[in-house]
Amino acid sequence: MNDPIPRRRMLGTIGGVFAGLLSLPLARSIKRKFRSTAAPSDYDPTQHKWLMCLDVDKCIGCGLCADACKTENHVPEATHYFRTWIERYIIRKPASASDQLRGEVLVDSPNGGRGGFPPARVPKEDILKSFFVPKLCNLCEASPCTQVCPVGATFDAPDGAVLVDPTYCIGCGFCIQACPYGCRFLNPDTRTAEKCTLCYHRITRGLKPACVEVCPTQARVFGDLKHPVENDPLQAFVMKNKVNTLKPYLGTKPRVLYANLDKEVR
Amino acid sequence: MSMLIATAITEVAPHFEGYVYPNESGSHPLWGVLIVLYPYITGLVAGAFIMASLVRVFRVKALEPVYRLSLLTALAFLLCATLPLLFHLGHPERSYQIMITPHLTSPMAIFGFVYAWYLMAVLLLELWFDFREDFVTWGGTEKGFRGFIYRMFTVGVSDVSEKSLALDHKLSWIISIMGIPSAFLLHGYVGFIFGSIKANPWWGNAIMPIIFILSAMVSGIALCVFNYLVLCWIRRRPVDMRCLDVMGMYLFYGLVIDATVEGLDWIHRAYSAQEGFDVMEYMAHARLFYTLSIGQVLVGTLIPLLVLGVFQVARKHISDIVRRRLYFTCSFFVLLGVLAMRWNVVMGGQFFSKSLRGVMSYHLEFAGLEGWFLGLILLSLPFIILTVLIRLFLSEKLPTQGHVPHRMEESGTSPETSNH
Amino acid sequence: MRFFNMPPQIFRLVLLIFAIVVSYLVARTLLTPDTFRDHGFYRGAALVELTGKIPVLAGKEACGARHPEILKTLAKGSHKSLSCEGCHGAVSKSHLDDPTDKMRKPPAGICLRCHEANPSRPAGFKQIVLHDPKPDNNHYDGACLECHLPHDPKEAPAEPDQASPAPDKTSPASDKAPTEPDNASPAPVKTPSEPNKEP
Repeated sequence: MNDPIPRRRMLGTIGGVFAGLLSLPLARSIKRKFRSTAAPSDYDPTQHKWLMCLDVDKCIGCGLCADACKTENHVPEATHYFRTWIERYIIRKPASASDQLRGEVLVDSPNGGRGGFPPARVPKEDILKSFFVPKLCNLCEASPCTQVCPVGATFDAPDGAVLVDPTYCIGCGFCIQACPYGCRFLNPDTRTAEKCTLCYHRITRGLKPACVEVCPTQARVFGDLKHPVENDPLQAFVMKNKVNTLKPYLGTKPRVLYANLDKEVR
Repeated sequence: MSMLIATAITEVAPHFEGYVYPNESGSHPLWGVLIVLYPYITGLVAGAFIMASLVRVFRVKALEPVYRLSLLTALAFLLCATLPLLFHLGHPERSYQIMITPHLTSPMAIFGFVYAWYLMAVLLLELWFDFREDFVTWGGTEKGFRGFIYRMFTVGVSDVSEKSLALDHKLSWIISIMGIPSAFLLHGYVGFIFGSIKANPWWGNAIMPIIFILSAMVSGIALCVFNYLVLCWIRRRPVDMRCLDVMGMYLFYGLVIDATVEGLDWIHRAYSAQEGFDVMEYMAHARLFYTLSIGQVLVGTLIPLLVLGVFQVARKHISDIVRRRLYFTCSFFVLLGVLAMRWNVVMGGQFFSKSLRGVMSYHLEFAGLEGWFLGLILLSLPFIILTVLIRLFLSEKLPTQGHVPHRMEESGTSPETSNH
Repeated sequence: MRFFNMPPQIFRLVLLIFAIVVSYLVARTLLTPDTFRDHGFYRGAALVELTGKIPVLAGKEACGARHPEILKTLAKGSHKSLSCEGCHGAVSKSHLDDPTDKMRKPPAGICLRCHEANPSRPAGFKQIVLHDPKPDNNHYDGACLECHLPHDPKEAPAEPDQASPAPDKTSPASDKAPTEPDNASPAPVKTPSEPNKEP
């Protein structure tokens, strides 16, 4: 019987097997790429310049980035160790008799935003404006943290990441004190300083940082300034938005750009 | 204040009020008791050395009785200075890296070199030139282990001729002159460590190294007063009141300058009221009230200023015994006050968030590496070492041509000595 | 005896200073790590070591290489910007080694992670109010998956009694929505071998 459905089904099955077989080497090579311990031998840090930018108006505060970061980088679980976190800003309406335009500002970051944010204790009617701000290492050009390291354990890599050499760090904590953005911490297990590395082990193999990977709304925009892709998200970001940086008056020259940053954000 | 410190939106976290960066929300500060002690100890070293250099460089003859005591005090404290740092480091076994690959843009990187320079080229050398003649003498007369130590310190040189001793004196004078900026560097760089942190408005300003040095001078002088009185009391020897009065005078004027400059810092902060002033003011009141208002200001500055100030004008009308007791009390208060000042600087900078929206409350533990029990031990260790040094080098039984702490004539049992 | 006509104490001191400086320089040469100052004031080997950590998340590209159908479905709808591992969790080693060892389904409450109504979320973002005390404002207090396919949220799941096309060998059976009684608590893990449990 020439039943069209069984033939279609058979062709579909053959096609599926074929596609599966073809994708096998691709999948294997991708698997190999991200499972290997070896550094990619053709990676030249002087040929790349990584940057992450953030669109505050796109962040929905889901906290997937904070979770992914802790998973990816084996950050200690306790609530005071974060390589990246999200802050929630709630700007209340001014009190009825006051001559202020904006009321009290309330900021929180419960467990860094991991697992999402619990409902605010401020009733919705009382809120003038509210938004989420993801935070991470600001990739400063004149980084105060690398300036103060006494032994040269933390440094500016040629490709724009600011990294810590965990086998050389003596754990003095000077860099943690010197970072104006609070993005560093002392790892209690290794007793060395730790911070966002832009998932250096991922970006050097062509993968995206874990936080960028899982962000559902593309609030985190990541790219290589030396190799812009087609419809490069970073180029689109700066063409579309007026941008700001955190604490520009300190002279750290942070490279991470924020779009739609409110004046209350520190 | 509630308008400026944001109230917690979710459940009140145990360790802070308002908003702090998540990395700041732990239960312990990054820099604890040990980092409070380190500048305190190096400050005492620098101050005690300046006391000694007043004799050598500025030829204040009245202070000669405490010349050797000041140097030995400086040495005892300097030998302990690295201990708080080693206990604090995450990897003390890598601490040698600071001398192998010092990152010269970091003020902390000069620690190894400044410490080594000050210990060897300044303090030990000055002590050696002053004691060299005695080492030769004592090496000859003393037996056993003590004799061995004295002979070892002669480094094989036995020339104690007039010419040689004159050379010693001249070199000691040169080293003293070098030692004054070295002492300022030894302690000033710590002030610069804090002063260089622009991320933290409590620390990051130009006046921080100056304040550190001035309070170090004051604490060092107070320590010399304290040690001198305790030594004479233990040995039941009469105190040289003129020496004590001159030390008290330097302490008074040092306190005046120190209080003026620190006061200037606060006045400027309050006047210019830059961003962060509100949270810092709240923090100082909520977290530092006892250590700042009571400890540093009242006990550590105002009371000694009052008492010592009265002494400057009415010394003649106050009996020796009362003056001695009050000098002891004042020096102890000043020592407490400067320790409180170190606490206020180091901990104050960590009690408020860099988000400028929150204030933390840290527990201070008794036990553990950052506990105050270890702190007490580390503070007592220099005194123990000083006792050993005094036994070895300031012994009453050993004759010396150098400066001695107290008049010997009335003791009756020890050989006659003379002050230069 | 005087060397170089120096007073003996000076001579001894000079010797001592010389010895100290020389031993410091020797120690510095021996103890400085080999790759120091290769690229800057740090151990150059650190760059290599930091790239050598094994990634945990596979990334959408890697999942998509094995599950292209799902990626195609995803690309059609408003969930096209989502990553697989955001909902499904990081790919597990057991799944990589043995693809028939399927990954756990996301817990039922995962939709609320992004979509529960929250005044701090951007205004245009689709949100759902749950447990609203005003009964007429109540959206549906039941399971999201009753009406939405997770990979293509505008599509509703097929009725259970309709014939459905045979699933591709390369895509797991997660396009079929299981019924969930309570979307506020995480669902028990269901594998295709287990029958769907009715409440």
